[in-house]
Amino acid sequence: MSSVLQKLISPLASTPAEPPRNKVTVVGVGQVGMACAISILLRDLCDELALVDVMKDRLKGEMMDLQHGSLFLKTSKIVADTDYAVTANSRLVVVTAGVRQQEGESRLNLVQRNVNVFKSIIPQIIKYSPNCTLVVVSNPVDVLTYVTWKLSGLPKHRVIGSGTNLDSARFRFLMAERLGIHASSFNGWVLGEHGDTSVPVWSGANVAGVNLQKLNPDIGTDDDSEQWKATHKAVVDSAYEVIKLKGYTNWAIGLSVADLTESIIKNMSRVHPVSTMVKDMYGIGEEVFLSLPCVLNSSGVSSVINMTLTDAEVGQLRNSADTLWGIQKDLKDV
Amino acid sequence: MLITCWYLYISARSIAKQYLNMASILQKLLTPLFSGPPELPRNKVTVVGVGQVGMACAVSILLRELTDELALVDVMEDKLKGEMMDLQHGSLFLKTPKIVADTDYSVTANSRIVVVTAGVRQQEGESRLNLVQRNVNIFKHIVPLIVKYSPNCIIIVVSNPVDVLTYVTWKLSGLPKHRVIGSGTNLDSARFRFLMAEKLGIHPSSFNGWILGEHGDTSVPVWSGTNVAGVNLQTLNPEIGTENDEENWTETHKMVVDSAYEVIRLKGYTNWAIGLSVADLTESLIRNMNRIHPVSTMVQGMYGISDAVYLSLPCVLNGGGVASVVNMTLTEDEVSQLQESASTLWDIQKDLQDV
Repeated sequence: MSSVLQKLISPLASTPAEPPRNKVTVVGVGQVGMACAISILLRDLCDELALVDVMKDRLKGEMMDLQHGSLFLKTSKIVADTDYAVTANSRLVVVTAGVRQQEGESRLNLVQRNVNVFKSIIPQIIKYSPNCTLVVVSNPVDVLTYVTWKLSGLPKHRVIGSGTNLDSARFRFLMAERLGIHASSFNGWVLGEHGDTSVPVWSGANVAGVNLQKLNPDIGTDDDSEQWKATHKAVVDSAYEVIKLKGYTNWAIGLSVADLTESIIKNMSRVHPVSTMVKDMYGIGEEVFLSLPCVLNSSGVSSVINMTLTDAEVGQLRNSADTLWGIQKDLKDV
Repeated sequence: MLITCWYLYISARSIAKQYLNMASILQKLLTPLFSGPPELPRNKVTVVGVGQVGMACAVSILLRELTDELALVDVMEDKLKGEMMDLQHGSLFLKTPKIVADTDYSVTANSRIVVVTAGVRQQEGESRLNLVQRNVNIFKHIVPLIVKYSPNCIIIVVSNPVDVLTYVTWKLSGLPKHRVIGSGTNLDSARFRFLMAEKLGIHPSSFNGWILGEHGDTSVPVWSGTNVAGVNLQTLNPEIGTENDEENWTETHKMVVDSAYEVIRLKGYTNWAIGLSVADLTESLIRNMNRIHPVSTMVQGMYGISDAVYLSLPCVLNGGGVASVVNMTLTEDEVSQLQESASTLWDIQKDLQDV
C-alpha cells in the first residue's frame, strides 16, 4: 500500500538536507521588500529566500504568490514566518522594515519611529545569522545603518547601507538620457547622504574616460549655461516625484539592492556607492555612515576607494556628517 | 583695406571661438557617425494596465531581458507616470533601453506582444465570472486602439475571466485566432506542478502535469498524463485524482483552484506568480521557441465542442503566435469536463452586449 512517492522515487542518500549556501533574508514585505525579493529571485542569486514581517497574513500571501512562480525560478526554497528562526544561516539580510516617507516628508523625520522598530529586529537577525552581512534599506538609511551597526555588534565591514547606490543609478540614467547613451556607459558618482544633501562628484563624471568637467569647467555650478546641476536636483527630487505620482517607489530600489546582493553573494569585488562607516576619513570625527565607493565582496565592504575630491565636495561631506551626527546623538537606546 | 580685412578676420575668429565654446558637452563629447532616424524596435512589448498584475508582468519581462522597448498604458495618469519613472530609474541595472508610457495608445505602436491586464479584479470571495460584463465594456475601448497601432501584434489576455475576455478580445480585434492568446491555465499548471512537486520533494520543472480547460473553478487536471521522468503516476496509483484515492491527490488540484482566493484573502491580490507566468509565455513568443504551454485558444471543433469558446489546451507557441495545438488523449470523463466548461463559458458569452 505504498504511496506514489514511495513507488516513484528511491532515495539514494538518507543524509539530512544540505543547509543553504547562499541564503538571503528580506525583512519587511512591503513594496520595497517585495521588489528586492523579486529582483533577487529573477537574477537567480540565492538558493533559499526567507521573508519576515509582523503582518502574518500578508507575509503568508506574499510567500505563497512567490512559491506559485517556482516553476519559472531557480530558487528552490522560499520560506516565511513572523518568527526569525526562519532566517537562520543567511549570508545576506536585507532590512526594509519600518515606516516610509509620506508625501512631502523628508527622510530624516522618520528616524525615531524606525529606530524603535529596529531595536526589536536587529538582535533577532544576529541571533540566527551571526555571520551575515546586513544591507539596510529603510530610511533615513545612513542613520539607520549606524543604528543597525550599534545594535548588531557586527564589525563595520559587515553592515552596509543601500545609500547612494540608487541616487547614482538615477544620476547615471538621467545624465545618460541627455547624452543619448545607456546608463551603464555614463560614469558618475553621487556620494554622501542618501537624501537632500547628496554630493554629485562632477570632477569625476566621464564617458569613455572623457572627463565632462574638462569639456565644460562650469559643470554643476550655477554659472553653467547647460545647467547640468538641474540633473542632480532631479535625482534628489526623484523619490518625492515618484511618491507623489504612484504613492511609493519600489522597482528602482529593488533592482539596486539586487545589484549589491550580486556583488556580495558572487564575491565579485565590484565598486558601489554604499553607506559605510566614515569616521577618520575626510576629516570626519564622528561615527557616521555615509556613501563612498566601496569594494563589495563576500566579506562585505573589503575596502573603500580614496576619492580626489575638491574642497567644496569635502565640505559637503562634512556637512552631511554633521547633520547626521546631529540626529544620531539624540537617539535613545542605541 | 588690409586693416579692414584684418579686423574682419579677427572678429570672425572670435565669433567662431565663441561658437565653439558654446558647444554643449554632448556636442563636444560625441561625434555622430550617421544621422538617420532611430531604428524601430524589434521586440517591443506593451503592457496595458499598471496595477499589481501589470507591473509584475512588466518587471518579470524586464528582468528576463525579453524586450528592447517596453510601453505602459493605463487611464490613471499619475500612477502611470510614477510607475514608468520608477522603472526608468532602474535602467542602469536593465538591458531594455527604452521604457515609455502614456494614456494615449500611440505610445504602443509597433509592438510585437501586447499584454492586457486592464480591468477590474476579483474582490475577496468573488468568482471570476462575475467580473465579466464590467470588463467587456473596458475592452471595447482598449482592443481597437491596440490593433490600430500594432496591427501585426500578438495579444496575451490576462484579465479575468480570462477565457471569456480572450474570446471578447478576439472578436473585437478582428485578428486571426492564432494571434490572440489567453494566459489561461499556464498559471494553474505552474501552481499544480509546484504543489505536486513539493509533495514529491522535487523541483516543479521535473514534475510534468497539465491543467486544461477553464482558468477557474472548473479547470481539468489531466491525471492520466501526470508523470515524473516519464513514469506515469496513474500507472503507480490507478485511483489518483478520484474520491477513492487513499492518498487524496485530488486535494492538490483543489488547492490549485483555491490558490487565487487564498492569496487574495491573505495579501489582497496575486501578482508575482501570474507575472512570472506571463514572462514565460512572452519568452516563447519573442524567442520563437516552439515551446508548449497550456494557454487559452479557440477550441471550436475540438473534443466535440461546437461553440466559439476559448479554453486552455497545450499550444505550441512561437513568433507567429499559436502554431499548433497538441491533441491530448483524454479520458471520457476529462472530455466531458472540457465540454462542460465550454457550455458554461458559452452561456455567459451569448449574453454579452456589443461583442
